[in-house]
Amino acid sequence: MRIARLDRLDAARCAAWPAAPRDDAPAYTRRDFLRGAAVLGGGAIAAGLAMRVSSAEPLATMPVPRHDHAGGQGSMVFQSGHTMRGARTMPPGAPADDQVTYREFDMTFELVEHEVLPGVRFPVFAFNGQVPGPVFRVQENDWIKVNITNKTEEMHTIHWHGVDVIYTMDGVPMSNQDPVHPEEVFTYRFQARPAGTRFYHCHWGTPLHMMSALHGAFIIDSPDDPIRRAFPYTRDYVLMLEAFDVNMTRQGIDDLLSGMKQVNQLIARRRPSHLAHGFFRNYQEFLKAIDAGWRPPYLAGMANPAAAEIRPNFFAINGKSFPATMEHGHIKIRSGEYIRIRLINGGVFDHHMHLHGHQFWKVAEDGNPLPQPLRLNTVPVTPGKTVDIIVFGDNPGFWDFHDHKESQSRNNGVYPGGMITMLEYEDMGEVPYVPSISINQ
Amino acid sequence: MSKIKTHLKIGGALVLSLLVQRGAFALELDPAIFPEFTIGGRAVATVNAEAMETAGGGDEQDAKLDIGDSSLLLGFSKYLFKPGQYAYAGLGLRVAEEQRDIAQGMFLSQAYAGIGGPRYDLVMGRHRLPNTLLHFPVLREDDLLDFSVVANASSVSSAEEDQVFGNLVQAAWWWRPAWKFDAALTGRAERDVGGALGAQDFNGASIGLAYQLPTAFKVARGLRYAAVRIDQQNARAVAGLDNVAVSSLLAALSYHLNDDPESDWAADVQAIVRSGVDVASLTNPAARARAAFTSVTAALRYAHRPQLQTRWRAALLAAWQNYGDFNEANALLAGASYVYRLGSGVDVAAQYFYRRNDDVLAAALGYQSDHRVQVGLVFAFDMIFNESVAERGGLLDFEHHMGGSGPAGLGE
Repeated sequence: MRIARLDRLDAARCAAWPAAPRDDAPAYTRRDFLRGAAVLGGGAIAAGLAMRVSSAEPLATMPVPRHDHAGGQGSMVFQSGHTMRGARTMPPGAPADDQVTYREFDMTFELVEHEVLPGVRFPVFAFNGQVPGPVFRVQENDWIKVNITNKTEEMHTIHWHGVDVIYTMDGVPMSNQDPVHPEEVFTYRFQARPAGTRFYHCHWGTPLHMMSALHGAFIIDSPDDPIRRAFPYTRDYVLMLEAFDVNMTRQGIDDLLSGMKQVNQLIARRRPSHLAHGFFRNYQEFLKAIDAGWRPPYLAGMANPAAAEIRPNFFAINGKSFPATMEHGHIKIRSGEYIRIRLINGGVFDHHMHLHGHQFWKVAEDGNPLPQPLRLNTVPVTPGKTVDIIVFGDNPGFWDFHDHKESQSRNNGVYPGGMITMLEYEDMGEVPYVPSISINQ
Repeated sequence: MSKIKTHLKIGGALVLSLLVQRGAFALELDPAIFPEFTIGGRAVATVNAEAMETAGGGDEQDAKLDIGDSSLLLGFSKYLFKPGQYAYAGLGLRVAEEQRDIAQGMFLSQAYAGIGGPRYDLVMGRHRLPNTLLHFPVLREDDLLDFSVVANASSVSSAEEDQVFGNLVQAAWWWRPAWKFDAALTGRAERDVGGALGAQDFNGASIGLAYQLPTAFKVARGLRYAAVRIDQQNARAVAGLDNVAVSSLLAALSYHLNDDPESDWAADVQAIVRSGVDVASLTNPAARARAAFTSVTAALRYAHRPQLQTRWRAALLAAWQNYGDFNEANALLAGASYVYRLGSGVDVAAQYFYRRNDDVLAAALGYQSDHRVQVGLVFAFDMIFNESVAERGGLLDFEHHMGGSGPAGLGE
């Protein structure tokens, strides 16, 4: 039933787009891919090469995910005498290895010091130690297996945002899985669908963990991509939009790691106290704990509203603030070329991306193609959203592409900075004015 | 940044022009310069009951309300131009202990400024003196003052104004995150009979070496703190006593007895040895601070922290002191303290101490023994606004060498 419904939706969606013969779509060559992926960092390149293989099986023959989770077992954290430190966890619900062919990836949760701007470094949690995490580039309906190793002292999960995964793989702690404990290896298995611009992020301690900086792009390609048919783009950019409160992040990570020393000690002694970390079997048990005198941490938070406030002071594209966006996030185009830019909001603040000198097409939202492309020059990207735009090279020059919420085009309050990058034409020849750098206006 | 420095040197005229041009946004107005602001303090209110046996064998009993040691501290921090470096200042007010011998209800306990970085710290001003190594779990500063602090040999007052606080310039260097070396020039209060404060000269020095591994960094049984310190005083002539040099050696250990963060047991011990100089009697505090002296103070601490939330803490304390040049005159103290947490920073506290002086000390101090009970409330708070300056002692700096100190995360 589910597959049939997806087919109908796809058919209806495609009908709204200008028809283009399949053969007209330019081949997405390996060279093009590398050129596009170059802006995404080394991890993106590696992941993309590994994953960019079309599925040979038609959709209708793919096994339907089984929801064969053992009923009523629930979380391990309530079972006395256990430790999940160093465990290998492969939750049920996905086909066995001999039923489908998995594309397998190894990832890590790490604590690293990230340089968002020359001279500005702060501690973050990061996938594979990089900000943002590596770009996944897979084909629709690929079966994905991700083995994630927690190399930190804090707990984490991965939520595959916008991907219709099996519910045991959705990465929401205590809702459909236990958090991934320190030294634990947790395996996510799911089918990559539907096609489009998706992303992934940690869902444990989400405000801090997703913001700083456990987030990354998950791009699901399809040979039947209506956007490619309508706009034969030759380069594909992914821009992760980020907001960093470096003070909150530093203090938050410092505090929680200090606390985790004690929590992890209880776990090591096989005497974890679920109350110590705010775990409850159900709401009634929570109420019972309150009646018994347990004091929830939000009472401390209420006493200190300033500490609860997120005040980002560095805004970034692909982990870098202007002018360091020249390293990651600098977009290039040639006259007469279509490029696709995938905007992903990896933080918890709104961004309003404005491109100078061009009217672009907004072609997809939340990864799903729009019924009709919209002609815009500014597009909002709110938290949790992905927006795909197509830019046509028809106005050679150097063009600002920036967050028009200008308070976020600053570095620690100093303009210009933050979420500013540039669209640069590569074929201008001799130019009348060459851009330079100004960081204090 | 050098441009900013240059402009800052222009001085008042430029500041005035900036005030006039409020709409302008010039380089001199670095928007990042806004101090971190900390306000902290505590109110301690107890009912004290005391039963004393005088040196003559009589009994004295007393009961009173005590708000001594209540305090307010304002702290400010901001970053220097060089990444990873910061400056700070503090201003502290304190209610004098009820048994003070100086006619002040409230006094300026601290007023200092300092600079620091990931591996160093320099502070100067009126500050807590480096004359003790451990802070024992007692309600008030003066509860163990006779035993656990190197006394001020230049003051006839035993009040904490002169004994705990003083002027200093102190530099500290951490060559490993857990290892610290420090050196200080100290200016202890010089107070003669009559109460007037004398010159504010430097009259001492101190060097220390410490190993410290806080529980927040490692939950395990073992040594958490070990330190030694040499304290030198060039005591000034007061109360008929001559100028004289007095040296003291301090050593301390803190040991965690178990590795259970929900039931935390620890033991602390500190010893002070002073070779001393000849004095005629022990009647005057300045004379006692010069005499040959040995003390040992120890505590056994327990924290009950179900679900990692502190509910109550208790401690047993014992202390002994000896004046070797006065026929081994000595005193013993034993006691217990208990704190039950009602809310964040709000405690019910109780403490009992028994002290017995031998005959020589009883004659000098005026009492043979003393039972003292304190029961009351403690309200403590520590709020940080515009939090931006990282702690050098934070876990990230201590364990990962990242994100420690530096402007808005601008660590080196």
